[in-house]
Parts: sequence; C-alpha cells; structure tokens
Amino acid sequence: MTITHKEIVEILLHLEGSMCEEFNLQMDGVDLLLRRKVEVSGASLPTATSRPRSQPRSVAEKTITPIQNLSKPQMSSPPPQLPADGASHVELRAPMSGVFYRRPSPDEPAFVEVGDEVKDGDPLCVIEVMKLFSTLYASCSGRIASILVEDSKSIEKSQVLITIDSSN
Amino acid sequence: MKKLLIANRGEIAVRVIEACRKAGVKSVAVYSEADRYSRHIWMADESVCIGPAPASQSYLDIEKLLFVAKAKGADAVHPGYGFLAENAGFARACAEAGLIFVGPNADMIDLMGNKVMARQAASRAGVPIVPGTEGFTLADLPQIMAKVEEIGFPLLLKAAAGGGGRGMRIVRAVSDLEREFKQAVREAEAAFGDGTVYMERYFDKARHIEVQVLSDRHGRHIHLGERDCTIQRRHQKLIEESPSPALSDAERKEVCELAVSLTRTMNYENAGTVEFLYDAVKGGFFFIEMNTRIQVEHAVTEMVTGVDIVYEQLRIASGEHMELKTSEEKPWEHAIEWRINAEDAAREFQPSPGTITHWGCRQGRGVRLDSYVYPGYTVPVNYDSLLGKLIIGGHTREEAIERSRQVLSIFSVQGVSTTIPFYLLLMQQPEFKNGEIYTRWVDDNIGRLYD
Repeated sequence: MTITHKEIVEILLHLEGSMCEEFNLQMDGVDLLLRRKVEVSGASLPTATSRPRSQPRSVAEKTITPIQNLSKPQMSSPPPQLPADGASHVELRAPMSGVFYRRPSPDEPAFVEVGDEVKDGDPLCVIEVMKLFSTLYASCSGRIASILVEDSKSIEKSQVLITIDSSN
Repeated sequence: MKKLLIANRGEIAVRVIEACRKAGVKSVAVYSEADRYSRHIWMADESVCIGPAPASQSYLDIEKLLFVAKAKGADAVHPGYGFLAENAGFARACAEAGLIFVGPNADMIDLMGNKVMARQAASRAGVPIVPGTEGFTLADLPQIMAKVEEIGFPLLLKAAAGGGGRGMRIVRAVSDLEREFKQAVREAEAAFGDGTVYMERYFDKARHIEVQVLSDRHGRHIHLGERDCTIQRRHQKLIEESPSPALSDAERKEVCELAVSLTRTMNYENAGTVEFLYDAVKGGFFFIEMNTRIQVEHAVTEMVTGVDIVYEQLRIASGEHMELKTSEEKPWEHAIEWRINAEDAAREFQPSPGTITHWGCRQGRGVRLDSYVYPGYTVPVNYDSLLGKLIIGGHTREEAIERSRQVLSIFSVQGVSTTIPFYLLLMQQPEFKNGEIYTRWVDDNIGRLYD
C-alpha cells in the first residue's frame, strides 16, 4: 500500500489549518515527514549597498516543507539603507554581527577617514564573520560624516558603522 | 600526567576533556570573553578566562597560556587543532616551562610546518611526492620559468609556510605564471610572514587520501587506516569517510605503509596525519603534507577502528605504551563525517551567525555527534563556523549513507543556517554515490546544484 499524491495534498491542507508543528507517518513503503518550517529574516553579506551579491529572505515566512523536496531559498528585495535624522545622511549598517576593520589588512592604511570624499561603490570597511572577510561598499557618493566603530571591534547586526553626508 | 590545560575551544576542547576523564586526568579549560557560555567550560574541572575575544589576545597568547598552566598546577598542555597546535614556538615554550606538550617535539613541528622541507623529508623516506620544486622568492623568477617545463601545467603555487589548504593558486598557462607568482609571494608574506612559494603539479581529478598515524616513545609506529577527504570546497574539507571508496585493498595497504615509513624514518611521536593526493586518472599516491596534530576528522577513524585517538595521545605524551583497546561499541565497517558548519550553502556558504534556538539530533547506534553548541547558545563571530561533527557508521558504505540521510533529514537546527541541507542535496548526486567525486567537484558544480 502506498500513499497517493491526492492524499498528501489532503494531509497538507489539514495541517495548514492546524497548529501542528510536525507530522510523521510511517507505513509499508512510506516514510513521510512533514515539518513546519519558520523562516527568519537573515541579512546577507554584503547588503544595503549598491552591489548586493545575494538577496536576503523576507521576514517570518512560514512554509510546510515536505521532506522529499528540498525547497530553494526565497529571493526578495534587500533591506533599504535607511537615511538617519538629517535627510542627507546615509547610514552604513552592519549586515550581520562580526568584527569591524577599517583597513584591508593590518599593515595597510584605513579605507576612509572622516571628511574623505567617496563615490558610489567605493570600499569603506571590512567585516569579518567566522573567518570570512567581506568588504562593504558605499551606496552613494558624498563625504564621510562619521565613523562610529573603532578598528577590530565587535559589531552587532544593524549597528550603524559609518555615515555619509550625501548632500551636495 | 595529572592535570592538562586545553589550549583551545569549541568541539575539540570538549573532546579532549572527555579523554581526560577517561584517563583520570584533571582538566583546565581556558576561554575568551566571547566563549563565556561555551560548553567546554563547565565540562572541565577548572576554567580560566584568558582575555578578550580576538584570538591574538586569548587563544594565541602563549605567555598567558603558560602563566595559567603554571598557576593552576597543570603539568601538560593539549593544543587541539588550529591556533597553536602546529606552532613550534609554543611547543618549545611548553618544554622550557617544564610542561608536557601533547604532540611531537618542536623540531618535528618545524620540519613538517615548512612544506618544502616536509617534501624533502618524505622523499628521503622513500615516499613519492608531487612533482615540484624548492621554495622561491621574487628574486628567483628566472629560475622558476625554467622549472616549469619539468613540472608541466596545470600547476599549483603554494606558500611554503602555508598549509591546511591556504595560500594556494592554480596556474594553467605559462603566460599567467609571472603575474600569479608575484601575487602569491605578496599574499604569502602577508598571511604567513614568509613569502617563499614553491610549485607543484596540479591534478585536475584527484582524491585527497590521508592516513592517521600514531607513534609512541617506545619506537612503535602504527597507522589506523586511511580517510578520504575529497569532498572539499575551496580546499576546505566538508565531508570525510573511511575507508576510501576509490581504493583497492592493495592501494589502501600501499598508502598506509608509505605513511608509516615516513613516521618511522623521522622517529615521529604522538598523533599525526600524512596527506596524499591520489591520481584518480592513472592511480598513484603523492605526498602533499603532514599534519603534526590531532585533526577535526579523527573521529571517522575512531568509528572504524574503535581506538580512542585522543586518549592514546595522552598516554603517549605521558611516556606510556599505546593501549589500542577498542571501545565497547564495536567498530563499524564504514564511517562518514559530516561537518556541521554555520554557513548558508545556498548563498555561497555565507557565514550564518546568530543564536541557536533549536538543536536536535537523533541519537542511536552508529550515530555520533561531537559538538559544543546547545539551544540558546550564541555562536561567536570571532572563530570558525564549525558547530559540530556528525559521524555516522554503517556495515557498508551504502548503509552509512542511508543512515546519514535519515539522521540529517531530521537534524533540526534553528536560529542559524547550516550546511545540512547542502549535504542532503549532495547525497542525491550520482557522483557522490559512486565515489567519483574529485577535490574540486563541489566548487565546479555548486552553481548547477543550486540552479
């Protein structure tokens, strides 16, 4: 005896409407495991820049994932780089927790200093997360207004790192 | 040995502490401020915070580690893997401080740490090496161009002070050589403090075969079989298994004996791994390097031999004979290790820091999980992404794969992304099932897998 596609769809519909987190059916020739999966928003590196390499997922998406099919990650729009108070200041925020570096390597000068002019796409800093280094880039042109974190300090996700005055 | 300080963190610190308990040795754990909630701390008999998160101010601070060892009355130090495990200066400093260093002596670490010298040592022991050259600096550029004929293309530029898959560049054409060489020297200088670069023939389709070796102070040099670590990404291992699905029994015997002839010739001491490339097209083993430490994947060998390698390390370091008693659970015919990394494979293996809200793995026969995380634990961003290792045993390779599939498909992790979904995808690939993967397979196929 085996389970039909129609029966699986019926089960899914019943589960959708219920509070059930996990459903496991084992019988002759069939081992069906359904688990309610909560997707949490996860920012990608780099993000909030003019060159996103990948797209983060949308917030709190619930899908029931039949274990036979591995669902592919959802694509959605990158989180906007929020202008702070003072409409012309653009904030560079940390896409995830990590370690902040102002220079490409310990023996090189910092990418930028306060007061420097930068163009859209210029490298501003490096973030290290679990031994992986990523460069963050300016999403607009302007002047570096402030650098809020010291070199080699730990940072939290969404922490404001650098602000750019984009007014002309 | 009465009291051991574990100069490391994460899952290997947990592992070493377990071996201490078995050996009746007291353990001292050290931790940085970022590891304040790490599991190895409460497992150990004593623990000491040794500094802020950056490794340079904590796990790599030799003076501090020795100070703590002396202050706590430890008589031995286990360096784990990574950090100071292959730092001859640390081994020497321990010896000078009158502490037992669990590993070979500083001279052996120095020898095998310089990849050019290691190749020479292998050659002297009669072990075939990958066709290649001595080390060169920028001034030697003309000589390099001359050597290229001998080696042939494609070739690999490697940092002499590198290792562990770092500091390597592939060169496919003579027109690229000068530029690539200059860059390689510059990178090696920056990363390892030594710009010496050597060249080796590169095999497009190779398997990575390594042999676990164990040597004591009484002249006994043995091997515990081979591991196949071919499934890698950017030269970093993802999955390891034993025995290798690609070798015949005769080949298996050959590579293991080559490894022991090296340890015997060197009069090596303690645990180590001799790494080879196996030419998947024509056959034949070529020495690449030797790791003079315990490795992440030692657990695979423990699963198929029943030997507790870390426990044997402690015995050897104490001057005892190896016990080599198999554990209560009978060894399996085949074992596979799956490294559970906090990385999102669908997004180019981007690291996935965060707080683990759920961590559930099915336990049972043939299922071993070496891990240090738990629900509620926040993964520090300052160290590597390894959360744990899942090692699965089976009577056959097929059974081990099937059991892996069952366990991985219900291994529940929330709060961070892991490489688990990637492994489930990989297990379905025919090349994996047939044992036809080569070292660059994941790099070459990752785009197709996530199309």
